[in-house]
Amino acid sequence: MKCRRCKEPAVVALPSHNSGFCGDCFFMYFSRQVDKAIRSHELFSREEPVLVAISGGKDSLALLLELHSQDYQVTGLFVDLGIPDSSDLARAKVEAFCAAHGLDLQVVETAAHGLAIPVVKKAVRRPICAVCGKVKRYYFNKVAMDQNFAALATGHTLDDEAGRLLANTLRWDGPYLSDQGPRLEAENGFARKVKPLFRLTEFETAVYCFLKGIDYHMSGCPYAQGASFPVLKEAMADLEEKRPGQMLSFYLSFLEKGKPAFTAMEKEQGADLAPCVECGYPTSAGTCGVCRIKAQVADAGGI
Amino acid sequence: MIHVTLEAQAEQIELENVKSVVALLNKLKRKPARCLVIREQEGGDQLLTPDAQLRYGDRIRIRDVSSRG
Repeated sequence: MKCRRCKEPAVVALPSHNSGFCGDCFFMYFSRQVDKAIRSHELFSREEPVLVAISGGKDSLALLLELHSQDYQVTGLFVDLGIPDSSDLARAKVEAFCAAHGLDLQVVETAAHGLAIPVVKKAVRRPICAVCGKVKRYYFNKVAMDQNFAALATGHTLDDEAGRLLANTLRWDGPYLSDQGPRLEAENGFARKVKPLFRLTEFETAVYCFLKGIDYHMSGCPYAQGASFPVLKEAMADLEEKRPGQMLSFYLSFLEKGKPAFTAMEKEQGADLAPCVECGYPTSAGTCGVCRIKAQVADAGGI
Repeated sequence: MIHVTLEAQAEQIELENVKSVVALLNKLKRKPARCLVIREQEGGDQLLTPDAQLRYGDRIRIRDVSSRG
């Protein structure tokens, strides 16, 4: 296979674009997809400070490096969840990566707030992945708001977004469908949330990391076994293999034709948000989810 | 014969009569867009596309790309 642009030998095949690229041309393709994502949905400008949530995995590290290379004002945020044999390994990768590339990094340790995930896991009866996600999002938003970042960027890829869209659609979940997209406006105490990698697949971020020599955290979370979301992501990947381009088409068509209806419906029927009585975080339930988790941990003797 | 390392499983296997990347992926029941196929070589490892031919004695690493939580 030859590179579509320069005719040198290709190192990556992209059936969804009916293309193959050499390393240099792949970087050009990758940068253009990120640029197109940012411009088409006005995610942020080069004058705005952007907080990038990083896990240590390939997607978020690729995002941080690519935005930095495109001269955006980025700061990485790693939330250390205190998960044994996982959080410390991921954190070491993140710290080494940011030091090597001269990138600003902030770290929040949930254990310092009484929310180390092993402690939380013992105290709550709900699936730990949902609780862990809530805790992470809480601190991502809190840092973005407290430090006046213009936007909070995450490394969600097309696989994530299309898989999530499939999950939301299977449940016809109006509130989630109204919120899904590459840009969620800042409102009611929430920072603007953006997903600059929504046009790129996990495969493409993996290729990017390989070609850039990024040493990312590959091990899965020891608590994530049995989570249902990867099943739907795999289902989308199967569909994409049989019909290349379907995943992007599904997602973009939803943004154009489906989302506006759900957004309008949610404006009329959605729950009103107010600051949490404990911490001020926006919630529809008086006390926010994280403060309720803290109370459960305290009841279990964890704090 | 080629030597294959499955990174996710930290497992090493040896395969005979596998002459292309697409044949290797079929044998391993993996999809081209769900893993990187990496040839180990002096001067820097190389990514391989599905149509690439494999050589006797190749050392290949399979890196799954799916995020795992």
